[in-house]
Amino acid sequence: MSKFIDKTLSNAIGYIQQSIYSEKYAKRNGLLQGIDGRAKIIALLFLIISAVYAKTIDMLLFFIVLSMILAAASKIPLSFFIPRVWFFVPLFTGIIVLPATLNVVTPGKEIFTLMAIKSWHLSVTKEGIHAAAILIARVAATSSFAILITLTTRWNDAVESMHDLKFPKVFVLVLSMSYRYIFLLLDMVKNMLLSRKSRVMGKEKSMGSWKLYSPIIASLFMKAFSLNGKVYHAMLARGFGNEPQSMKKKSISIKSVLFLLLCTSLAIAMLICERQEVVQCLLP
Amino acid sequence: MPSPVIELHNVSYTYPDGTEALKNITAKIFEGESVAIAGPNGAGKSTLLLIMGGLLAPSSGEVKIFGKKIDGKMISNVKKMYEVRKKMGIVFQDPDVQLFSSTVHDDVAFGPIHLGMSMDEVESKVSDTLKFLGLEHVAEKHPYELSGGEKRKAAIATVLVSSPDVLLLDEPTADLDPKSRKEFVELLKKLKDGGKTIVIATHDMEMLPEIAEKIFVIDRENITEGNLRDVLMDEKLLEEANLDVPLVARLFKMLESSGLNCDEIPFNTDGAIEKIRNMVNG
Ligand SMILES: Nc1ncnc2c1ncn2[C@@H]1O[C@H](COP(=O)(O)OP(=O)(O)OP(=O)(O)O)[C@@H](O)[C@H]1O
Ligand SMILES: [Mg+2]
Repeated sequence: MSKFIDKTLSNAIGYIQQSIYSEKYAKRNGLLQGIDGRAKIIALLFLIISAVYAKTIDMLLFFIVLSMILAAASKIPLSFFIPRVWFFVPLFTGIIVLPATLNVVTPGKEIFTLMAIKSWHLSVTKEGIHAAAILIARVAATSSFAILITLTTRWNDAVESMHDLKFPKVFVLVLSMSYRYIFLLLDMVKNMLLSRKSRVMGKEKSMGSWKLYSPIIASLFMKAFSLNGKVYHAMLARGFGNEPQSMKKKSISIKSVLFLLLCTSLAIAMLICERQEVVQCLLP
Repeated sequence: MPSPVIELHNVSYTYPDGTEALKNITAKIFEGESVAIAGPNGAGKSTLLLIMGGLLAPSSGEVKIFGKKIDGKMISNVKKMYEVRKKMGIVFQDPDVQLFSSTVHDDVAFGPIHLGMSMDEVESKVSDTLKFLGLEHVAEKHPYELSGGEKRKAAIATVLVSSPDVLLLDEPTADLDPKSRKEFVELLKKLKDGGKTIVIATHDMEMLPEIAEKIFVIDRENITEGNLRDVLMDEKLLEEANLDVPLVARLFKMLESSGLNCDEIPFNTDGAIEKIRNMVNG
């Protein structure tokens, strides 16, 4: 048992470190990697908003396919990209999606009945399934674009772009600091596990091993807490709190501007279509 | 007489958990001085540096930096502390605390940006400093990816880049390999000759004779101020403070106790060579 915990813990840590940290895909030279961070964030945000408002399955499928094309053009293997997207979908749709299929939430044409007590019954409706499918597709489309941003942007560029786009300073700072220290803390856990292992002789009972983990977690929190105070000192010492001079204005490449225009106009066009339900009219 | 840069009068500091780290400490540091702070583990050296740097307010007593009185209210006022921060650089004992940005380059740029330099100036200073410390190849790396010594150098770079007048250094030579350590000592000498004020907390006694004239030996409530040479000759004080004398000095002390007459004990190799040459030549 304890071996299992050790293994899963260190594997999980290793996985997080590698996958977030390696910036493997962000370093490739694909389509999105070559787009200016600011343009990319705005463009994909527009697509996300447009996907949030999309009401038809066709349109959401269009967004999902678009995200896959963008991923492929950015040299992200679909075998990596798609599972990652579908990992997030249940996290966000979660349990909402199941009741949505039922007549009590979404009334409509009943397909089959799950339960009937006298005149009251619980059944799955056609409209319910439709609503659930839209919900799932919408989450898939929006997470696809969000994941594309994170996969193709190096962390520093993302932070800098958010800064340039006037995201709240504290927000950007907290994000970049947590990125900096998550590794330190993960490393600490790994080292603590190692040093514990090196001191534990023979076989431990699984109960005992559980007891051994709580101090590790407690000391991790203590360390995180004290680090926080010390890091604040280190920042103060170097002038934190003064308004920084505006960052150097970087010029945006034509490719980035084109990409931005294309994505935003596509997103806006989709929004308008959706509103006027032009699509329904055009489709036979 | 140069003016005092840092003045502590009867300063005590108690951490929130009740640990009394410093008690009734009085000390003055003058412009252009290089001062060592030595003492056993847990003696309060790091705490003392934080107080001298205007980051911690004393629990009681008075602290003046550049003649300005520093208290809790003052410290939380970013605008009022600006002048102090601009002229003062602190290298913390733990480089993981010092390096809080996501790349070495950004970290080195943090100080100059926040102290109001223009972006062009920042870039040129950052690249000069990185080059000077031999860190160009790790500029775009995450601090997490650095070796212990590289981290230490990067921490030093974050402070040198703003060329502060006063440098507070907490164990700056820990983790450095012998060559880097030597280069760092040379750098400190140069800074000292350039008129900077340097305060350095360290256990590295070998390095001190090269750079410090004055030393504070501290242990919570005792602070002994002295000329470095006198302190290095005071066996009892050194013993109490868990300190060592430089190897060369130890050798000459042993020679002296076995009957050799040398009126002044040398503390570094240059001094020793000189001494031996004199003795050989009669
Ligand atoms: N954040 C803190 N909270 C509580 N106590 C602390 C804190 N930091 C330091 N101390 C305590 O204050 C005392 C002085 O610590 P300080 O770090 O100043 O010692 P030091 O002389 O720098 O030691 P070292 O040579 O090991 O670096 C120690 O007893 C330490 O345990
Ligand atoms: Mg210390």
